[in-house]
Amino acid sequence: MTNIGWIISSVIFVFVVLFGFRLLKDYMWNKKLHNYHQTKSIHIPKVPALYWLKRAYGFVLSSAAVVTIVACGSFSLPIREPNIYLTAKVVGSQENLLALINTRDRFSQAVDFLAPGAPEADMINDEASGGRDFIDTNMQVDGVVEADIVKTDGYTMYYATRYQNRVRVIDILDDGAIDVKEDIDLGDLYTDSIYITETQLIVIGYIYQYFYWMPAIDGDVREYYYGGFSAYTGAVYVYDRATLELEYSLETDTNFYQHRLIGDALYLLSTKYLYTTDLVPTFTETKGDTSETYDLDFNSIYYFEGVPAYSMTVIGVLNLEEYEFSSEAFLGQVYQIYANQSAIYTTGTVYEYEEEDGVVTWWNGQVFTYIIKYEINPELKTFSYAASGKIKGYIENQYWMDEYEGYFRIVTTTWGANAINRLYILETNSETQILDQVGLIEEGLGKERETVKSVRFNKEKVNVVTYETIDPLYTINLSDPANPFILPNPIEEPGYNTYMHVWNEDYYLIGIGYDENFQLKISAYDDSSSNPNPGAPLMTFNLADESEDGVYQYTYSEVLYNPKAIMVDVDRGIFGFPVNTYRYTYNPLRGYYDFAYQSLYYIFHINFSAEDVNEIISDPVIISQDEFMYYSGIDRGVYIEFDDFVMIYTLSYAQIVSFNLTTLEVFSTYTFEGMDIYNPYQYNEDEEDREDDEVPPNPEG
Amino acid sequence: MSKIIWKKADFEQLKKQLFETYKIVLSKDPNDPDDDHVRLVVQEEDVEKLRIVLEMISLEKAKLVLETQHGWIQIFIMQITYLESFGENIYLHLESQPTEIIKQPLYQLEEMLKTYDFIRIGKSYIVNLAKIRYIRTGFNAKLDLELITGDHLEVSRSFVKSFKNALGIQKKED
Repeated sequence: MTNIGWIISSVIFVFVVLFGFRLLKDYMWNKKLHNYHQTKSIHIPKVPALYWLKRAYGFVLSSAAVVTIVACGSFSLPIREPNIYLTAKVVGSQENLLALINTRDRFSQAVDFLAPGAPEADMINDEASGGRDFIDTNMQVDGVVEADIVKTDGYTMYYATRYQNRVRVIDILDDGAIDVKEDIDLGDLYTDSIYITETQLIVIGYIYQYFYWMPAIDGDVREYYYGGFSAYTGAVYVYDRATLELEYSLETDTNFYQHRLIGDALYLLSTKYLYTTDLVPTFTETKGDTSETYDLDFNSIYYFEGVPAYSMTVIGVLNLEEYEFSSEAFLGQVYQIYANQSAIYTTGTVYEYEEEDGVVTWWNGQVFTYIIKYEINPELKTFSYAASGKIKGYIENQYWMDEYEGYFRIVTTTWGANAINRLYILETNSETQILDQVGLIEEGLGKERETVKSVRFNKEKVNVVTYETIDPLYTINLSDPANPFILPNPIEEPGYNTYMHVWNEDYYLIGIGYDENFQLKISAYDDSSSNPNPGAPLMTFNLADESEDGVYQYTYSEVLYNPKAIMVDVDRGIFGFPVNTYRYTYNPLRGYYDFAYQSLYYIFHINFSAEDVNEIISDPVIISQDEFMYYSGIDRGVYIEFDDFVMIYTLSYAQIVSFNLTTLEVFSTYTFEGMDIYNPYQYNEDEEDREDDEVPPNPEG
Repeated sequence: MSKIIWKKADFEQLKKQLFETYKIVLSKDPNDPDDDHVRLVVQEEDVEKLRIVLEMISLEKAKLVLETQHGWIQIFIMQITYLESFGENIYLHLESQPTEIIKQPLYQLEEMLKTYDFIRIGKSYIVNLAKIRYIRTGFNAKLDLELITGDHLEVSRSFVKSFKNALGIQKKED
């Protein structure tokens, strides 16, 4: 309850007490009077009930007021108390903000100019309630939804084709056939992040603009462009899924960088670059025909000691039920966030420079990660600053962070000859608003020069992969937050994993990454002490086929940096992902290598209870798509379960292949309008000696 | 066993009240030679009740002779609701009769009426406790008395204690 809420209810409660006391006294007096009359045998007319009702009036009314205030919760919102931030300081004014920006020269910070996308995520959701089952986006935390380019509810697929400013809408019929609807035209908006709720389609993206500087010399305008700067208009568009009409939009001069959907609360983090003269973020909200534009107040902008003010991060929450948006900002850049249902942790990297007589001289090699914790309440659609902290090293993605039983765990790395990999366990001190260090591992994590490549937390343990020449996969026991320890016999194998998926509560893992030749591989691990062959993976499947002479093949996949491209479901034992294969076959007639590009989708069945360890990872089912004139790699696969069969839909810029996973047959191939299938002969008609038939392979099972 | 003899004129008045309140049945004794009287047969344990009844009857019957501007008058005490002093006059408010103005000091009247459960509630007021219908308590520690006639009287702060004593809410300290 807010302070004003407390004051008002307390005042009314005083009245409740007073009126109540008066009513009680009335009762006592009249009781005595009645007794007196009884003993004296005096008979007077009975007091009408109306008297008592009138006397109880004040008490009943004031009690009702208190109950109403408490029950309706009108003073419960918002929970945050902005004036008690201890470690966050209010900027307050433009002068102060300018002063803070000017001191940024004492620091350096890597600013990622062109990365509106957000990587990563974990668990699988079978959200179809009573409807078709499907595999949802691979997300890090249960109940905390992450955006992706494809979303489905089992009946409709929404697919934001990257760099095309549109969302494709594809209905899925009962026989597994697809019905491609009209696209949603996003105008100038680029997006790679969409969410769906039961009734809404939410598109988050940006409108990119480039501004030129034309410096004037002696009052004249130069005739050539002299550099410039780019600006993003970040935008959230919410469409009604039934009508595909735009219901609400939020536009801002910041760039939505990270976001999470929890229930009806869409938490948004955006970056405001401080190059322009407009120093405060501006928001334009449009609901139906009404539009409102406003600036963020200077008093809602905070800064932290030691965090360079290169840019501003705006944190906000959009109530998708009421379309209400509230936000705050702090100076500093955010790269990665971790969110669960009660907190959001933001991280930014800070490079520390040596200073001599107030002049920055050299980078001392120190890299720090600044962590800011917000407590969130998705039900009330609120957030409030909770604490901050600074640790050594940097992190590469959200999977390097986790919160479990109140402890924030984070793995950091550094580079160079003296690379040190660390695991921190931090706890929020609500009195000082500082993230206190509870546990730390600084030694033994990685060999010389090895840096962290992937991390996966799983309750009371964490798996960490480090790499320089060989991949040790460490398992760290976190059951005592103050004394984490590395378990002996790390698993070692050539190459390294870029992503690990927990396959079993306790000890099974599937890892995906590079083998020693930097080709794609997936591996199955058992990190338990009962593993008969500790120190080695149970099984590894290499995707590149090196068996043929004169063939060189290179495989690559988006999953190596974006785990959301993985279609994974532990219960169903499904692990699928798109793969781009570049195949070079030596052509002795022509004396050079023929090149072929294949866009494939691999689906593995994973079964850790297989009798033969070499059958844990099945041979893959491979779905291929035609080759098109332009880039056309498969972006995502969508898994949908019908009554007696399972369909996989592979989606690319140009084509949808519907594949029946039960019969292992291609059901249909749909090519979007205006897409030309690549025809090598179109450009080589005069080549008489052409022999190879490198036409795109047909989809195969 | 006690024997009480009433005048018949009083009988009808009391009969209902006695039965309703005390379940005492009044009846004419056929053996009584005097037709003008009724007999009351009361159990030993009910004698205390009877005392109250008798007091009540005596109270109902009690009269006061006072001098007014128009001469001496006789007033049933139980008719008085309250007395009010105003200047040199005392206003005698009665339940079903017009107000009488008398010239007797209030303290004398207080003394006279004490035994009949009249109580001083302010510098210039004396109230008949039997005529109070409802007591309202206020936030200022004063009491507001509503009489059966609908009049309102205020018990001053300094008289609340004695008022309490009179009602038996607070035991007398002395």
